[in-house]
Amino acid sequence: MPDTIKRTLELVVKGQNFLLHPQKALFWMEQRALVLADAHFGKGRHFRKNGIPVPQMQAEVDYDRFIGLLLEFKPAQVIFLGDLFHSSYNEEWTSFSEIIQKFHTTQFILVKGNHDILKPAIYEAAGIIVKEEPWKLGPFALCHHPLEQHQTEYAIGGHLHPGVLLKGVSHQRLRLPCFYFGKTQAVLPAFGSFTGLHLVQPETESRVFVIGDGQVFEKS
Amino acid sequence: MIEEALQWAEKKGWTPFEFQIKTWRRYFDGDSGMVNAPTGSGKTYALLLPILLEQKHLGGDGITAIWISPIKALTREIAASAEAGIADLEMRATVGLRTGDSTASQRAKQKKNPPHILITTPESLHLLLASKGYESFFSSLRTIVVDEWHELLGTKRGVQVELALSRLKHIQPRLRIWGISATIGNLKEAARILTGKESFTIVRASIEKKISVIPVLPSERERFPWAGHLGIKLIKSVIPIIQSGKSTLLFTNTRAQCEIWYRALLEEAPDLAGWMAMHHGSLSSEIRDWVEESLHEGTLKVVVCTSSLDLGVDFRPVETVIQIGSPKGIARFLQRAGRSGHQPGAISKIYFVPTHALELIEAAALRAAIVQEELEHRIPYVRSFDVLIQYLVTLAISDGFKSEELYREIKSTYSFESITPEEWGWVLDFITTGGSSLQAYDEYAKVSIDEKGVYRVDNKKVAMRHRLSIGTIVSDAVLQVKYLTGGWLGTIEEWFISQLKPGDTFWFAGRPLTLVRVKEMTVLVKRGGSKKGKIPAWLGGNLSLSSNLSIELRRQMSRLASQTFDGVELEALNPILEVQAYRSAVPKDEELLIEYFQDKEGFHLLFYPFEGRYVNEGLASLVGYRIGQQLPISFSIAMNDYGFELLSDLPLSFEEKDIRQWLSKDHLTRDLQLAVNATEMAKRKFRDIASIAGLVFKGYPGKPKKDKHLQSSAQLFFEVFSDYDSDHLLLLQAYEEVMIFQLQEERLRKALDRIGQQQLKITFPQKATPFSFPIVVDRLRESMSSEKLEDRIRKMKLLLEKD
Repeated sequence: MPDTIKRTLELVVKGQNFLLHPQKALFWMEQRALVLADAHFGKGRHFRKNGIPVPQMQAEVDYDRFIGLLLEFKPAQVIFLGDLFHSSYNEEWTSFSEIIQKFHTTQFILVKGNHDILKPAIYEAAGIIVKEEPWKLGPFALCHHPLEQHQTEYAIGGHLHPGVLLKGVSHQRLRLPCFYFGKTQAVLPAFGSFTGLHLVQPETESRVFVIGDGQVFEKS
Repeated sequence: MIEEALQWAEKKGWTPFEFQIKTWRRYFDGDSGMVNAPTGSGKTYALLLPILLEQKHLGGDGITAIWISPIKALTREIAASAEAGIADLEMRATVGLRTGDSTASQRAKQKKNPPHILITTPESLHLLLASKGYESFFSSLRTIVVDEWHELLGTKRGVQVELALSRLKHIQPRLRIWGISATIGNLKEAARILTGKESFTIVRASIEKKISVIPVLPSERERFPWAGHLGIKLIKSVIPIIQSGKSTLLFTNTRAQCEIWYRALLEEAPDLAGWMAMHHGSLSSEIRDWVEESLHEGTLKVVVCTSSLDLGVDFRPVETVIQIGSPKGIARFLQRAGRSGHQPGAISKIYFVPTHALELIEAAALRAAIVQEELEHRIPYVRSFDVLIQYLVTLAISDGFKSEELYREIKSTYSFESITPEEWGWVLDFITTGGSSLQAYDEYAKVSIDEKGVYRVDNKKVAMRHRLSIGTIVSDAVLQVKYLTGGWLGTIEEWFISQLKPGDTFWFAGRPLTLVRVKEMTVLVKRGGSKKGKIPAWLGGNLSLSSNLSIELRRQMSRLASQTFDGVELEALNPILEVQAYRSAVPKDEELLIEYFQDKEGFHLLFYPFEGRYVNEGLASLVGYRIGQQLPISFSIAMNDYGFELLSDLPLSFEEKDIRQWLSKDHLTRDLQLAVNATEMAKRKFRDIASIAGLVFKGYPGKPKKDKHLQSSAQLFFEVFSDYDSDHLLLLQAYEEVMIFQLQEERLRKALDRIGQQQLKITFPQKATPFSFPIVVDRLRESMSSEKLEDRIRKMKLLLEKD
């Protein structure tokens, strides 16, 4: 099968239509939902506050990418699959809330991940609805952590910051972030740019979509 | 006092060596300098005795002498010698140890009652500079001795020593500084860097050791295989050597090789079980200490080790030394050979076991090199801003520092002699505001400046994290290996463990272990499992053949080509050279051999400059980059000490003039820099830099949970700085280190000069040749591409576990 080469890539899962976006986001057409995992906003500032210098520009670029997606899809809802904000409260939260307040027709929902340790009042003040995982929506269970055991619903999560290794002839190797769609669950790439990559080993019957050069490619 | 020293020797029934007497004299004259003597020659007493005598006669409260040793194991030995000397001289003085093993109560006691003689390591000395009131702690200091300085000089720990000395010299301007060093090519420079003085003494011990190099060859009936790794294949010839000796050190070049040999010896000679042990830098200190003690007691028949046993105390029971594979340098080989034959006048025997057939030529090269005694230089690190940043925060934690005063001190060291006021300003910015790329100054918390202009750390958490990070000059992705039931075995790299699943077996510390689970930074294992488990490798373990040994290797090569080679290895080498000559060619002195062939892996282009792996890597990147400028192409690059390979999936057409252009010196610096940018070399160097400069916080046992939110990797920082702050001094340092230490730009330039004079001998073999084989099979490869990422992705497939 030749690689599908488009900026975004269309995918049908459980009868629902998705767009896989190279900015490491998923758009669920039926729900008009933009789904992001592991944004880790505020991470750079958290580091700086602890004496580890991370360039400010990194955060700005992530905001720009986020705003770009909101403008492109005009989603009815944005669903964060955990690790929205990196650690305890810092001023970066203000910048983030200012952005989302400009999109008042959009609903923002957070499925809580291990990094999401802010007080409930803070999310509330920003207008974010917080859900515990697994949060069931349509035929899916939306999570942060990948599920250890299969549930009735197909799970969509994050947490892993998944990536795969590609190999070519002549010992060529490439390490790229990916969307991973397994038999019982999917794992989204980490949206945040100051996050690492964790290599996953694709199981049989899984579909892997790598991101590179501003495109999404299905690989087998 | 010199009389008393002589009397002491007489009483012990020793005849002092000339170099010892000379050192005593110079010491009492108040000189600083360097004692050049090998291990086991009485170098310790050359300096320890005058220190003790001076203490006996001049007295003095508090620390009067500091002895710095590169390894902990050695500090105990020195302390024991000092205690013995104190007893002999019937004097009152105290000796104290300060290492990573010192407990909190020992440290507190030492602070209250400082010993007269403090024995420590570079890292622990820096920790002392991180404690408040260190100036008065060191105010009685007269002397500093740095042991095994040759070993520290070419490392960042050497820079650590230089910086600590610059501070102590400020506290005590009349400080005497002495070093002890084995013979190296740049001994004078080494002495000048350490003492920081224009005039200094060098005392050379003229103890001649006869060394005999014995190649281990396969038995006559066996054909010498040229294809493949044959290290283990010679094990049957190695076992009798071990069995006939009293105690043997078997040196390997990498930790992985160490594990492989240990397992193979256990399989081949099961009766050695209980009599053999292993020693390498990733094993826990408990295991290493036990091995060292057993070596002293003579209860071990063989220890399989790496450079971790190059240094340090003399193991008297050791009679035999075996070297597996190329030792890569003449100095290192001599040091290892010197581990045997302790009786004066005894011949040190060292057996050389080649790991591939061509390495036999190196046996001959080593023999010739030993006669000429042309030892390598140790290239000192300069402008290591990571170490400087760590040091400044260290001082800011304790008593603080003032910019102008410290700038003068720093500039007096060799390492930072060339630092500019702008760079100094950058470093101060980095520790106070986080550096130029941060806009939000107010939030950054590390070092602050008080109203008197003193740089200090107020944040207790920052101070604690910093103390824990001093001395971690190691890469970031290291995991601890522990038994489920408790007991620490050592450390392993993350990339290796990530290939395993729970239940898989791997070999580590010479035993099969079953992976139970990985929890944060710990790999939990249980004993036992399959005998066939994977053996870990540690990245960055590959040394390069030194320039001196490369020259000698080329000389022996050309003798082979002109049939004037007369070493005992010739008979074993002949069949290989015949195959090489038949399939391709054996290059003469005035020829550069280039091979080009195709197989199912792709198109192989090989060059054989015989320049050592680092320079070969530099040449490979340069050629790869220049070809890539002419057409979109991806290469995977492999090299060894003899040559390098560029492998691609596209055919190349080239003529002699193309090759001349790829190897031209025009725009060399520019092209090299661009070539480095196209590879991951700088990213790898950045691992250490990020860790030392405190960017990457590795966590520590019992850490508060929230500290997990500060975990990251050097790679992330490399990327974020490359994207948003490409003039970052630490980033530039990574590139500079690649140029100086990896590609060795100066050597590379000379190599291109030499190649420019050579004729090109281009052959098109049908398949791999004896020369190309060891390179072609190497799987640890660098890659480089001028193709569009999109095109590369399209050509590739998912890497699945079964591959």
